[in-house]
Amino acid sequence: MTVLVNDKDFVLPGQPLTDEKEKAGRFTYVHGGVVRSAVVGMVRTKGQKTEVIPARGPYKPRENDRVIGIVVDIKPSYYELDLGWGITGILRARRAKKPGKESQVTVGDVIFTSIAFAGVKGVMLKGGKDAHRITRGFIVTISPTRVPRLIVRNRELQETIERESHCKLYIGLNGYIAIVGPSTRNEFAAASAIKLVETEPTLDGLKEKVMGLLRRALWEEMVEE
Amino acid sequence: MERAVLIREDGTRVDGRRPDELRPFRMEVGVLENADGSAYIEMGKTKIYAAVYGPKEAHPRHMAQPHRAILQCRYHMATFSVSERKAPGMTRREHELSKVIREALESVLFLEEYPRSMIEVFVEVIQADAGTRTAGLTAASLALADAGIPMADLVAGVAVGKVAGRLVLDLSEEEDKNCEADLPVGMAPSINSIVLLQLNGRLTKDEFSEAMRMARKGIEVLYDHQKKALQRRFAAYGEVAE
Amino acid sequence: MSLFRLGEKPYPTQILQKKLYELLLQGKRIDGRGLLQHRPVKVELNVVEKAEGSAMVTVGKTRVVAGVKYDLGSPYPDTPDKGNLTVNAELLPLASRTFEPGPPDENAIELSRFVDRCIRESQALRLDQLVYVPGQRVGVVYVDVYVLDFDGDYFAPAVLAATAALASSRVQRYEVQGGVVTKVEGEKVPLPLVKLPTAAMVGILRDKIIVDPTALEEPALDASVVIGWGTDEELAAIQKDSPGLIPESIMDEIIEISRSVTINLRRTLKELLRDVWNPGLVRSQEEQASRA
Repeated sequence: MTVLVNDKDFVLPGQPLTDEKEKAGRFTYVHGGVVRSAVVGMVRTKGQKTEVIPARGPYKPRENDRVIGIVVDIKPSYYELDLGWGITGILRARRAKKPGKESQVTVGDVIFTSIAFAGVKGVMLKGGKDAHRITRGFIVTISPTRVPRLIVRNRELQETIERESHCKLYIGLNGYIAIVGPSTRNEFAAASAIKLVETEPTLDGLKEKVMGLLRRALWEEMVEE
Repeated sequence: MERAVLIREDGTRVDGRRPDELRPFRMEVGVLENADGSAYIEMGKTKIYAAVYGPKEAHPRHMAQPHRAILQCRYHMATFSVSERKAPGMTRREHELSKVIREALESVLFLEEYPRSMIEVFVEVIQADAGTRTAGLTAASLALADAGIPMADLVAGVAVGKVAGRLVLDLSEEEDKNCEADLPVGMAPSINSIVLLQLNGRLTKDEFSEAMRMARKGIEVLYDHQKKALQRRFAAYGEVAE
Repeated sequence: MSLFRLGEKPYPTQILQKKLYELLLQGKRIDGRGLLQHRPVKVELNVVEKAEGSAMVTVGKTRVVAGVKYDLGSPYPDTPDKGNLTVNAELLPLASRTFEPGPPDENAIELSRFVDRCIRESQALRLDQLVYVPGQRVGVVYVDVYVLDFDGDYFAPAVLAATAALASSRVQRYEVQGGVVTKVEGEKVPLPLVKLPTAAMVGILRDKIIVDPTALEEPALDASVVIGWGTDEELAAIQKDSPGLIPESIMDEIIEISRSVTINLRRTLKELLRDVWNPGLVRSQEEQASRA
């Protein structure tokens, strides 16, 4: 057994990680008896598998992931939702209990739901109680690899943004985030805060920076009045 | 009219390089805002941008493959990139090079990760001074890594030529115009694999082996810089949270 | 981060329009600019040495490169005593998800023709001074513009890049003796550019007028118009480049706004070009020619 990298090291595609083939995890591959990284990212060696967390990249749908999709087509018994990255999710339509009372879902609608399953055949989304239609606010897209920043430490940054901007955030792991707030000013302030979370190099002090940004953005409004 | 001396008695070339010396070069990753991944490369006077979009919805829809993403690649030169203005639009040469670069990239990409989708690679030559397909390949590989597309390895390329009877690394335009052979090579160094190979000209078997050896050494230097360019780019990008 | 580029997908634009307008009412835009504030402009000259002239212009995230090539050719039959000017622009697929690879589409052609008009109609380039043998041998100027990265309004940066490339060009010097044109080896001369055309894009959303919209703002506008000025006083080209209504009553105001924006751009460009271009350059060439 050879340990070639340390946990949390920055690795590049082609870089050898370990010679224990059984440990090949996500975003690695095996070539010539060596497990190598397939992406630019951070290697995790603790646990059963050695895997790489990509620094940047497309969204890969996983079961139970909460996502936001946009309705792009309506078929007789299901809807097609665009999840970005060339991924189309299928959402089964609820059968109308009474004739004439069909679902009001239309193209362009924003749906917050979870992934039921994702495989070679496609992506199936959960319907019924698990799916909410978002009718106000607007959507921002960020790199899916940055979404965890909003969710770590018990959603600390998400809650900070929500509290300071008075907006509700619906966070999709596919990188789509819906922002619903009391006014456009609040919503755009929340969007700026999300952008800050996405682009800042370090997580240290990020919470304070976010709070500062939101207080400045929304305090101005109060002062003007 | 005096014919330029391509190789001097001491073995140095027109621009003063040794036979196994690369031109000065520079690489940068993450240079365009919109593209999912991008890179810029200069090798001597050759200047190239590479951009990646995807995975995205395949179009036309009927081209989508059930098991994998399709890769599209366009190698294109600006009209002012060459001394004699090149007509706008795609020439036959640009079509051939688009295919060659695409296939080189396909050799290392894990396209099965994104079924039914499409990944587009654009290589745009702003200034051409020989070695554009190999420099374009090198930049495209960086752009794909920037975009987070999983791959077996980065790939880098360089051309070896035979000039005035001698094998030289990384032909400049002047050498390219006056050479007996031009051998562009692309490799995935960590997995010791050739991804791009063409020959234009005359070489003996031994010369070919020697040329491949020279190419490999040049590619390793470029590969090392690709890695450094990615490190720089992601140092600015910052911490990865899970 | 990006907000949805609504032009690409069938999502209703009304929501975004409403939100942008609410911000405009408070005198602000999403990126914090004032309504009539242009994004900062960066111009680099001579980025492609093989071209006779070149310039890279960056406006916000929009990036455009222009190159000038020069050659000898035959004049057009209807203008035997003028050189030729050909302007070509391309929206490279590198620049945006919405730009498809392939031959120039109507947007690229529109851009080509607008840039052409800005230079030609303003008479900024003295084509009559590019004649070597009248009716037989003239100078042919090619201006090629490529959009490398797109964040709204490629017109203004394209015109700026083309103008900067022309102004900083150095082309082969030729001399004519007995009807024969020969190169004067090792000598280069500037092109006869006597004016600096610049352009600006103006957008309308209800009763609000904004300058230099970003890619997010553009689809939410009611209408937009691109206006090119050859000099501080003279219009050279106008193109209403979108469907939508422009209230007749605000058209004069739009023209005046574009005038002050393009004057600023011209001033910035002049400063940048101070070592390589001035209108006097062309006059001294004429004097040289008449003396010869």
